[in-house]
Amino acid sequence: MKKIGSIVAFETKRMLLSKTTAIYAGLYLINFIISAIFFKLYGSEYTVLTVGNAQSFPVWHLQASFLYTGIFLAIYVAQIIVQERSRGTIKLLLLRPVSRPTYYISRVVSIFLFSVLLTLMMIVLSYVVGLLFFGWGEQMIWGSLTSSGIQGVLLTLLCGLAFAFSYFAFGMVAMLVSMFTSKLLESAIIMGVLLMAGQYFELLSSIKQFAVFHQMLFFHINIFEKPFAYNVTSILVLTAYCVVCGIIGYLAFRKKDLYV
Amino acid sequence: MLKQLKYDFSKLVFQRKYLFILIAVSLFGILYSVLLFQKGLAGTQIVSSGLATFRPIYWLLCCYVMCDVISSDYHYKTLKIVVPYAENRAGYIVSKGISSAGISLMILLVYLLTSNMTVLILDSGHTWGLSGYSFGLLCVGAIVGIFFLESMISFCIVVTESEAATIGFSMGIVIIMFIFESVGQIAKYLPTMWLATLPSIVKTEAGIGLIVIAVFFVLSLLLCAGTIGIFRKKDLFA
Amino acid sequence: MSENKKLPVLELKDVTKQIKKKVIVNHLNLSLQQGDIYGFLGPNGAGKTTTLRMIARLVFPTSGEIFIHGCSVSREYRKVMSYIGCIIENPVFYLNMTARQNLKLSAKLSDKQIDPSRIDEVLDIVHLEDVKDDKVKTFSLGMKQRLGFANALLCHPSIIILDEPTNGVDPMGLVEIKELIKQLSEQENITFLISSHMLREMQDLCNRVAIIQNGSLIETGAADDLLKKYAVDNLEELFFACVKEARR
Repeated sequence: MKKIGSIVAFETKRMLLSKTTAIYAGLYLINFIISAIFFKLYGSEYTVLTVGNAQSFPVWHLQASFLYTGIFLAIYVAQIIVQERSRGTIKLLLLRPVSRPTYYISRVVSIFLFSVLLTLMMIVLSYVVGLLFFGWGEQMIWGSLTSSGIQGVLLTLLCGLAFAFSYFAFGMVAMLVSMFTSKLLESAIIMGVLLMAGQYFELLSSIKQFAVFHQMLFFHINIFEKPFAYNVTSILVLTAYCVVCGIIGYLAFRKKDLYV
Repeated sequence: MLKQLKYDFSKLVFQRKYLFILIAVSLFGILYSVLLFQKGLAGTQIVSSGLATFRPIYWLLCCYVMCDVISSDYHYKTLKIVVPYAENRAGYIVSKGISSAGISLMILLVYLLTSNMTVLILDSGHTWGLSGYSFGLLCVGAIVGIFFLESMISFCIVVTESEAATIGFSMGIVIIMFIFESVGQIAKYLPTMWLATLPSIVKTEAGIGLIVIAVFFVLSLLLCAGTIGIFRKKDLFA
Repeated sequence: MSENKKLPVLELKDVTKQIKKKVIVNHLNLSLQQGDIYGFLGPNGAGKTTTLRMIARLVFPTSGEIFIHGCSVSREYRKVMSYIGCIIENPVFYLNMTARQNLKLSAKLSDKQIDPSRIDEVLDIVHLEDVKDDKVKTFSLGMKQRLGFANALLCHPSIIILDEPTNGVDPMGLVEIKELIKQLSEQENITFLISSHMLREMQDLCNRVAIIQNGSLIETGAADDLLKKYAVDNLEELFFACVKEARR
């Protein structure tokens, strides 16, 4: 456990201080500023916003960042899995008394933390942009939900947590793909193309709930809009993705010869 | 520079992955054209609709190809082997740009070719081309769009020397443009849309359209010049 | 403790590595005693690095077992790795971190409690004290090699595995590393398994050698005994004699 903690702490520090995270923050900021400007110019016609205030700004943009967040997460997963192998830095960890299960679990935890970090980054940046362009506003309005003040913030954070969980499941799929690729770029692009193609699952109403892409788009919304049984199924679907991809990924990694 | 270009193109030919990409694109072209034919669309409409669907995937593929070609020496730490053999560093970077642009354009041409050929087989009355499009203008639009994307990617890799940052940045830029595409007023002026909209821009809004394209072109040139300037003086610890 | 002295420190029992139809390491048997400086020699592509990778569990043997202090590498990995320090092929570090930060990370992952002063101590031993706060990406190959050596020494190992440890190291560094290996072997009874092409340096260093070719062990034993057996004066001639014999 202590070693998992040490490795995760190290990875967390790296993710917070890396150039790539700064680029992601920059791209999110540009995206949110564009959205705010479009709302100011054209109303809700060309943006996901229906209400122009900082309280509502983050939740509306969570779903809209589907492609971005998915790709950024896929790149991060490829960095910590594929790039560690291709650069050989996996040796630095595995030549210590760090077993492969320990290493693998630390990667899984890091992926979860990164999906939480991305979500928090989006929420914070969108509050900032919302405040700058529209001010705090009176109420948070999101679909059929209205709230305000601390309650609104907590609701946003709860949405964010649900959002992060669904992206974590996607991250586990990305990890499985990364076990079989040898270059960061290949892994990222495969996941990018899957993200593009995965949106078409929305056309298949009978099975879309079982597609991770549907959950990435709607899980954080459905927990408030859909019945309890539906949400339980969604949670089970996401958990199944995490468990199945995690197990298959581990089986692939466990006996992998590392010529590093 | 010609020697470097020959070397880069030989590398492209030697690596099977680009062949697989071209085969996958051809297959997509064939299958999607058959699907649209079965829905009863006319020949040129099939090709145009197919292109509209293929376009976002195409730009993601361009991101991959450009990042792969331009950053491969950074990834494999072979800069120290390749750069000393290059006539000069400017030639090295320009050659990378040309070869990545070349393969990107080839992907588009292969798609259009297979799509048109499929329709021709299914519908003997089909005439080559797209619905209301000029093939030449389409290529020009694609080339200018590719040049813009390629200049951004080169700049990013030379400045950051990070493959992850470059792929994140390039895909982020493409996605930002996809987001802008939802705004009808500006969609047609976006580099990602030029391969579809340039012919209509030239017909209907030649003045504004060409100014916008010129601005992007000049921006790309400036980025390229900046990239070359930085790369020429950069210490390479690879 | 006395039982450990009887047991070989490192033992390879019938270790084989095969990938598809190619046999890279073929039924290799090796045994190292405490305090040995064991030279692991062979031409390029003989299977030396693959063998070292199998000991470090980066690569899995197709068959056979590897034991360190009587513990199986496959079944008691964590215990085994706490005995080992190694440089496999070339030392790799996080380039955007300093030498000290890389060693600090490595120390955190050890099962032993490593005092922070140990990091400075090993950096002093390998003469990197002036650059300990510089980022590894600014290091030359030889400096990275020294840092790799420092990393191998960090957690007080009982066996150190070195794959081409003198690669890129300057002549002064070569002498220092040799002296250090001898000193550690004599004073702290550390066992060394060294794979190298620098046969003249190995001559002064190793008390026992194993020569491998095409994955198979062609000769092993005390260096002096082998020199007498083949009637040669040095390891270089011994190496050529053994390889020639095996090729016949």
